Formats: sequence, structure tokens, C-alpha cells
Amino acid sequence: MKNDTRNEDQGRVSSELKGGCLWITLHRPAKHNALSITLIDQLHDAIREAADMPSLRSLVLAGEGRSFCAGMDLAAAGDDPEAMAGMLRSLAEVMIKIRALPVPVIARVQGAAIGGGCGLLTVSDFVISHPEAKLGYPEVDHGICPAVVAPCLANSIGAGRARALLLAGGLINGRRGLEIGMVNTLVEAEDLDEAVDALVSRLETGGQQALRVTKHWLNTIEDPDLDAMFLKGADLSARILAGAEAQERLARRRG
Amino acid sequence: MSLVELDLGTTATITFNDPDRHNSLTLAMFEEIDAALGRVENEVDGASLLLRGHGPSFCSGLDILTGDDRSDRIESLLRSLSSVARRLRRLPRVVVAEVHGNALAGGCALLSACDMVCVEPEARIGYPVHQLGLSPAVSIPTLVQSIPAGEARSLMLSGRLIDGREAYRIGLAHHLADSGSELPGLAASICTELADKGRNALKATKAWLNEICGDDHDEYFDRTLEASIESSRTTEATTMLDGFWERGRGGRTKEAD
Repeated sequence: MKNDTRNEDQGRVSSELKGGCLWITLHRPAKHNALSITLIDQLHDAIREAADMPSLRSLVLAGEGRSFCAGMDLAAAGDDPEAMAGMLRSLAEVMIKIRALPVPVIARVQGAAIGGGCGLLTVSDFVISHPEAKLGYPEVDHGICPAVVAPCLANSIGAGRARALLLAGGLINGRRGLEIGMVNTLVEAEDLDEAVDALVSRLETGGQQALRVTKHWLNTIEDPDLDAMFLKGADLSARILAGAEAQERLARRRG
Repeated sequence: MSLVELDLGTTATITFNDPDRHNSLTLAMFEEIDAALGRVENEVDGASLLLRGHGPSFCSGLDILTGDDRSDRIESLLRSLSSVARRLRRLPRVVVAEVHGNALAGGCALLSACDMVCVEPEARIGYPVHQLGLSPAVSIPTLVQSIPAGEARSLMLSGRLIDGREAYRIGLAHHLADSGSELPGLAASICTELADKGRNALKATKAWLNEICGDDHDEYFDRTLEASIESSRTTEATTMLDGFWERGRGGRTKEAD
């Protein structure tokens, strides 16, 4: 099962079923899989299809090339704050959908996972990465507010660590990611596939409905209002992004 | 000589300055902290506030040894502590703690209210106050946000002291200096980096984190504060504090001799 290439520049998302595991892969390697509008749209479609696959056991999120995902491609929205707001909202919605998937989700993270790309890690159940990976949320460096990821990150690594990480901006490596709980399994980069396969195999030994029940309740107990917080975070993030400080810093980056 | 030094600027710095008493928190100290915080709050354009202490310790907690009218004074100290914790949490800047030596009870409560904590490896941190018949409940709202609930239970209920390395491991501290002598440089460099971040982005992010964590609501702060006050007024607390006070006075008389 493979989606067709739509537009090379904007990238594409592929879905490939390997046994009971669906691999959803971002393909925009020249841009470190930065999330274009096309990529986010195709990710929506791929996740929606996955949610409707009754025999699915697990799902892997991956990125082609040197990096998992370098974050939102804000250049795609030019200097149009409304387009940026639309992208943020769409990313928040795709994160809601990933978190709501009934099967365990594994993020296979090589190279960079930054900003919105790192946000995909917070809605995954497992994060497998390597010591030199570059992870984190440098939003405040660019005058942006990482509001979409904040609620889910606070749940997954704890509010105190989320606070210190998000306010510090910058990036951390995979080793530190493991220490603070952003990464669950750390292996050498060349062993990522092996580690992912081992986990997928392990998950296939569990009862399918039992895993679905457990995941449903983990989502529910963790925070029943999280979906609303994602959307509220997207609105807040869009508001800060439209402000003078963020626009000046983004313009400086564009050169 | 003032008990608190204040530097204003992009990085504001509040330095506790009662080194002989390990910067223990007296009502006079709180008055100066209040005034200093008021001035920082009125400086609109700042990225961070650094909290640190002169002498051998960051802060050894509420000063419950000196003075008369003990139970009223403890109540006032607890109210001041709770108020400062809320103000640090809601200050529209990133609050960074530079923690060396002791950060005990009230001192630990202050660091748990900061956004980022830098420690030296040998720091001594914890809540050794049940032994005095007092409850550190006043610090629960910020501590349970700072570290996982299991760690918070273990730290508070046991009253054990942990060192800087352990604080870093459990997430109570976010930066571990290689040694005590490198701690001030580490904290200063963090504040320097913060000065380059988007100021509005920092404010919005902190406010959003506070909203997510419920730090804008006074209810938990109020209820845990009242619980600590109530526990300090019980017969048990009176008896245990009497014993502690006698031992403390004896110790200090000997020193004076």
C-alpha cells in the first residue's frame, strides 16, 4: 500500500504495511522533512486510514534521510500570519489524531526532531533514538511560543522539566533526551531499525484488544481535556507568531 | 547592611545576604524580598530573574529559632513564603535559582517555585521538618509540578536530604555544575542566553505553562498554606518545637561562650 508522489518539492507521506505494523514515513529529505502544508495534509490522510485498520497492531512514524523532522516549514506560509495560523492548527489536529490512534505508536527518530517535528514525539507512545540526535523546542529563540506541544510534553516528561526545556529554547541531544524521558530507548544510529523491529515484535505478542483498551485508558486518565488544549495552544501560538517580535525574527532568518 | 541585594537589568538578580545564618528566612528578610520582587515586577523589559545567596548556603529555610510569639511568627513566615512562591511562579520572566550549600524546607520551597534550577553537586536539598512537628504542605503545589508525584512523596514524607546530583537526576534541578566553583558561571551563562530569546515568546510560554499546570489558581496554594499553618499550631508541633528551640538556644549559647 503506497501513496503516489504528488509534489516532490513539498514532499510526500508514504504508508507501508509490514505485517501488523504500519510504517508512515515523511519524504522530504532535502529539507530534513520539514512539515510543508502538503506533508501535514498527507499525514492527516495517512493517520485517518490507519485509524480505520481493524487488524493493525502498531504504527511507526519515520522520516527519510538524515533527519526525522526538522519542524514546521514556516517559509511555506511566507509572511502571511493567517496561513501560519492555519498550519499550526492543522499540525495540532494531526497530533490529536496520532495520540488518539488505538494502537501503540513508535517514533523512529534519527538526526533532527525539532519544534513541530519534536512535537510528533510527544504524541507517540515510544521514542527510539540515538545519542547524537538533535531534539527540542527552540521556538523562543525565534520569538515563537511552543504552545501546541506544551500540554502534552508536560504530561509526558513532567511539568517541571517541560517548563525548563521550553523556556530554555535550544536543542538537546539524544542522551539528554533519554535522561529527561523524552526518549525511551537509546541505541546507536545504525541500530535504530533493529530496535524498532524488536519493539514491534514484542508488541505483537500482546493481546490486540488488551493493548487497545490500555492505550485508550492511558489517554483518558492522563488528560481528558488534552485535545482542547492542543487547539487552544495552536491559537495562542498563532497569536504570538503574528506579533512584531516573531515576524522580525523570522524575517531576519529568511534574510 | 541589607538582607537582600537587588540588581536590575535584563537579568535581574536577587541575592540573599545573611550569610552567617545561611540566609534563613526571617520576617525582615521577607520584607526585603517583597520589596525587591516589587521592583522586578515593575521593570517590564527583562528576560530573567536570578535567585542566589551569599555565604555558605542558598537558603536554610524559615527562621523558626529566634524571637517571641512563636506560633504567630511561624504563621506569618508561612504566609510570606507562600506569597513569594506564587509571585516567582507568576513573574513574567524566567526565574533561575543558583543553589549551593543548603536549600532546606522553605529554601527548597523557593527553588521548586523557580522555572530553572542550577545546582552544585554537593548541595543539600530537602524538607527535614516533620521532625519539628511541622508540615511542608505549603510547598506541595510547586513541588508536585516540579518532579514526578512519586519522587515528591518520597522527598517530602521522608525528610531526607538529597545532594545536587540526585536533585538533577529526579528533575528538581535542570543544570548540574561540575563543581561549586563553576556554579555561578553556569547560572550566569543561562541568564545571558535567556536574554537573546524572544521576550514576548518567553512571557507567553511561561503564562501558558502556568495555565496548563493550574498555577494561576490560588486554591491549592491557599489550602496547603492553611494546612501548614494548622499543623504548626498543634500540641505536637508545640512540644517538638519547644525541644528544638531549647536545643538550638543551648547550641547558640555555647557558641557565644
